[in-house]
Amino acid sequence: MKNTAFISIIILIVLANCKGTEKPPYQTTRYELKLPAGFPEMSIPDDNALTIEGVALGKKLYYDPILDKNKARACATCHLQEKSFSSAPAVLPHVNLGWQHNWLWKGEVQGSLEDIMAFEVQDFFETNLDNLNNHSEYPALFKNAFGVDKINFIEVEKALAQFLRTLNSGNAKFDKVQRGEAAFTNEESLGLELFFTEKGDCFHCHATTFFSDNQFHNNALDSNPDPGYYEVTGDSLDYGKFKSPTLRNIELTAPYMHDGRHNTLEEVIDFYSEGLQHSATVDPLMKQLSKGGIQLTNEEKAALLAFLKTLTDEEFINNPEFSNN
Amino acid sequence: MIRQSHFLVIIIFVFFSTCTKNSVDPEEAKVTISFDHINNSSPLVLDQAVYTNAVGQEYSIKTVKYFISRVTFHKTDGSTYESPDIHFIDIRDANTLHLELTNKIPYGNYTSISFVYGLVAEDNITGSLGISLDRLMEWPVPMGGGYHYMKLEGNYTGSNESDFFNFHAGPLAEKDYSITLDVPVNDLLVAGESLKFNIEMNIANWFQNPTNWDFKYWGSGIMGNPDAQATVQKNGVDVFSITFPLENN
Repeated sequence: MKNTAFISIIILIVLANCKGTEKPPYQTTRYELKLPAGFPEMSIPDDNALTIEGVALGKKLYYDPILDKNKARACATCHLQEKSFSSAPAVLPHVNLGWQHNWLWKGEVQGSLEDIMAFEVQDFFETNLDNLNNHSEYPALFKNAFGVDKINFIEVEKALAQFLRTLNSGNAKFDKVQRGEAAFTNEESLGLELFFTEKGDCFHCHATTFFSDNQFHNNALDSNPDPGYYEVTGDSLDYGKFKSPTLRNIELTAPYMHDGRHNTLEEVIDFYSEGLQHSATVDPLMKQLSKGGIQLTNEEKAALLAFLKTLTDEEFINNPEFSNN
Repeated sequence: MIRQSHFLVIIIFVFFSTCTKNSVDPEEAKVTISFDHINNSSPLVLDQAVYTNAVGQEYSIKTVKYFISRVTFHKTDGSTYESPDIHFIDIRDANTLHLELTNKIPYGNYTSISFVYGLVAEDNITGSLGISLDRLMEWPVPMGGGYHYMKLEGNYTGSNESDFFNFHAGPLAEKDYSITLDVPVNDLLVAGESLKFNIEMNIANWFQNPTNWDFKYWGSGIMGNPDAQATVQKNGVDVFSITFPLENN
């Protein structure tokens, strides 16, 4: 009997000395996140593992204007699935966010998806938690997903982050070609060559897989640029810099640039070909600034456009798992 | 009473055995490398400082990002100790300017330290270094894949022109243009807890010896130019040096 007691103590000590063995007082089901082939591992915080309950709750919140203190807008009001979860005039798309760490055009928030959701919930929507706590359904849903009796900002942010980590696009024609399931046309191949060599030099800022380096650049948009990232850092070297947006589903996310000045991809290509403007902080990667741009022929412009359209992922924009149904 | 003390010993043993601690081997030294950047004899000043190359063009530097890998210590008895670290340096990120090597090195006398500027072909595989470096240093698959060895960027002004330069080095057409440097260290005795040294890059030497680099001639982008990559490789032989801080003495 005494031995049993001592063995129990030993087991207790061993368990207390190991992390991660505590079981929550509620039962959740692990959500199996299926990443597109060729995508790197997604880093997910230990305290916000994806669960069926958490993802479903995040999706419900995403489509519900209850988060808005005025109940006027939901996330999905500006982030439309058919537009790769973006909209005019310059709403950045919600696609492949699980690998980002710089948020918004000017980098106002840096950190995890939970960090940017804290900004959206508390600063952008100014969510009134009473609306959730007094709701007929949400208290039970939060209890099931996070085991809480009272809903706080942290659980709202975690639920949204969980849903957003499922919004991954990696089944465009470009991806199918990488997997050997499709082939580029000659025009698309020429566009790819322009994109991935210094002739077009798109890849330095729009790096492969996510088609963004998640960094800030002055892309020679204006001779007197908007302050951009400078407003966050206060460093004059950052004047005129904005985050490189992803080009995945770029065909669907018009208009373009941080102020939505270009209505079509043709206009964007014309800008990079002939429309560059000098200012003090233009990135050296804008190699042909002195010539006004990369000087593409009409054939090359058409090819680049054709290649960009291979980044459209129809499965993503039609996936019912992401829809409000 | 005896039985209780036995159990106490077991409990203490179990408690400590569930924690892992690295044992300290007094016969090995940890190695810390600092990465310094100069232009000729002066510390490199980004953005503002204007330097002059051998063909009379004035230039300033905005970006210095590169890899150092395969740091290897060569003992007088012929044995070698290589650390597996592939280290990325961004001159604007202070966190990248120091590296503690994964492997310690045994006490003894060493004849040289070798390292690779860039990445040898075996180490230069697209996607192998993680998403952060994929984004920052990708060498596109259509150009051969892997990572840039280095991005050195800035502005230059010549007699009739002013433009950017993007001195980007990497592999091309399956040819490896990395540089393996073996630096003699004069029978260096390693006997203390740690060894510290600096790897210093003299930016000016990328642009001279044996070829005086003309920014206008080579153009603003050289990634697809095998002659340019070969010239960068040859010029790079005397770019790096190893220095030891006084605290080692």
